Amino acid sequence: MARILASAVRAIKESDRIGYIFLIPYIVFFIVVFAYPVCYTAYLSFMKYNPLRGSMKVIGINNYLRLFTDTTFHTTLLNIALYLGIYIPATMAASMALALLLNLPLKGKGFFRVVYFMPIVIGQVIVSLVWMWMYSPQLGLFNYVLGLIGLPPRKWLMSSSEAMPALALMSIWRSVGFFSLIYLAGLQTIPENLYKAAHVDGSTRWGTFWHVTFPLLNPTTIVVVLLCTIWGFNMFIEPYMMTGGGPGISTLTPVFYLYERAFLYLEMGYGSTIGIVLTIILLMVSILERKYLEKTVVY
Amino acid sequence: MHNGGSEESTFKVPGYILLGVGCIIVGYPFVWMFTSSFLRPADIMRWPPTLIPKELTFTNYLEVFDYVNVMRAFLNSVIVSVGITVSQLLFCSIVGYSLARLRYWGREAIFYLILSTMMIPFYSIVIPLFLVVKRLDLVGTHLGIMFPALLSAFSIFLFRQHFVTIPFSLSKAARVDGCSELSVLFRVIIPLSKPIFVTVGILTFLSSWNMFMWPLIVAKKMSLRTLPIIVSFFQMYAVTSTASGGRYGALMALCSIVGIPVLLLYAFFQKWIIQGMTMSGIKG
Repeated sequence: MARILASAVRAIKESDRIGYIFLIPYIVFFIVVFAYPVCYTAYLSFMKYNPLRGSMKVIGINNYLRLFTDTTFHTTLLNIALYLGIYIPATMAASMALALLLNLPLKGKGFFRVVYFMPIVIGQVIVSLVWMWMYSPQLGLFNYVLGLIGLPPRKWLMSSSEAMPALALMSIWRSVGFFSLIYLAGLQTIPENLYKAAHVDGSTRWGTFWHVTFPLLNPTTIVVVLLCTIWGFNMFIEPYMMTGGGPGISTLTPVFYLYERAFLYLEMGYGSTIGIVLTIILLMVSILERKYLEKTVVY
Repeated sequence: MHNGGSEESTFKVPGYILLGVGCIIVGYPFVWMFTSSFLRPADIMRWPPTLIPKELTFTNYLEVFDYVNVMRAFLNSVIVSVGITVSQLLFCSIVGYSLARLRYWGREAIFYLILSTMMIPFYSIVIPLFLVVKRLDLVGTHLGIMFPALLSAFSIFLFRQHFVTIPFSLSKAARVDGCSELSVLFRVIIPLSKPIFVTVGILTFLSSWNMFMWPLIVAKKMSLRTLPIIVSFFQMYAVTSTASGGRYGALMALCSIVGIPVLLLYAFFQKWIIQGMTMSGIKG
């Protein structure tokens, strides 16, 4: 074995060798943290496996059949769809507006940028707890502000219809600063003379936005939408910290459900099946979004 | 927008007002977290909410220190975050160097392979990863918590992108002078790359500091829990405790303890953090 390996190494061109040697840390990491786990997840998804009982049993596609008829899983998908339906368009619109604002020739923009970026740097655990308290129906800041402007108080996280939109609102707040800087970078790639040309043609500000800025920002929009989708789809900390998936299962997300199945009920086989199906769903959603967004824009 | 001249001034006032309102919306929750952590329990329960505490008290902080081992968790967080950061700076820079400046068969393919691993969601491999770490007997060690973050495709990518911009004539000259590849890296390339090391280092440190799902699964022992994990455990205690409305003051005190080091780092390194993180979006 050692001799085969040695001759294999010798077969590699001398000049190539050092490059491969420098790759060794990643190759080891890749095998242990990606290649093996990916294969093992696929394998486990056809098993019934509880690590405490120690027995592994082949059950074929039963996990998949179970998943397709698992109404809790279906509800988690609907929950995350509702969340993404609010989160993505609102984040897109708000961060684009903020980017336009930050693109104005105003002094002190650096300061504003630093503030807006802050929430994404602070850990989600902390943000969740602060917001959880702000959402408190009896003592929270939100109901206080609603009272100030003469609106009736809401139940926020305590209501199964308001909880998911409330989580979406928090995520929008958290990520607008980040995405506005991505849009800002996109804005700076639009050539100045296009604006001048639009101005000469008598285009209004609104017209210039719709016909020049918005379509030319499309590549950035694709990035923003895809990142929002991936982040939102993977949501776990927020419901874990703030609602425990409740009220009922109205804020149970797919990843939270996976965690619950695999690490609380120790159904590692079924958990793996959920992981695989979620990855496929996420991949398909991303591809569809990309296709759709690339098509809708006509220059 | 870009229209020059007199029109700028018409935007100035509404522009500043909007930006200012935005600042309050974004920043106030953090102010609220901090001020609430100094409120007396009686003031916490008061309606309307006390926006500016009239009397400061440290009882919330004392309660936190009584109930959870903050120092231990802080130490765990530091060990894990520093460990991950050092490991990534060392290994990812070497791998990035190889991908950027050495020539060999299959280099591009490996680069794309590394990029493609960024697409694999963590949750889809978390179960086998846990079983691997268990098999290696690393559950219940700091190394086990660091394990899936010892290298990262994104850090390799950042290093690689930076290293290709350094003129190749420099490393050629060093090689002619008889430097080995490792000393080219350490004597020539790294001294020219301090900013990228700061960027990768600070981003890695922050993301390790905020890691949640993995330590929640692996750090079962009390003595291993990192700060975000003890926050989640303390929350259960605080919210279910007898006082109606829970012990939000103590909770906010713990949040401040965990959040303020991050805010300080952010204050010092904001330029690098913002640049590095937006790069992840633009290039991704």
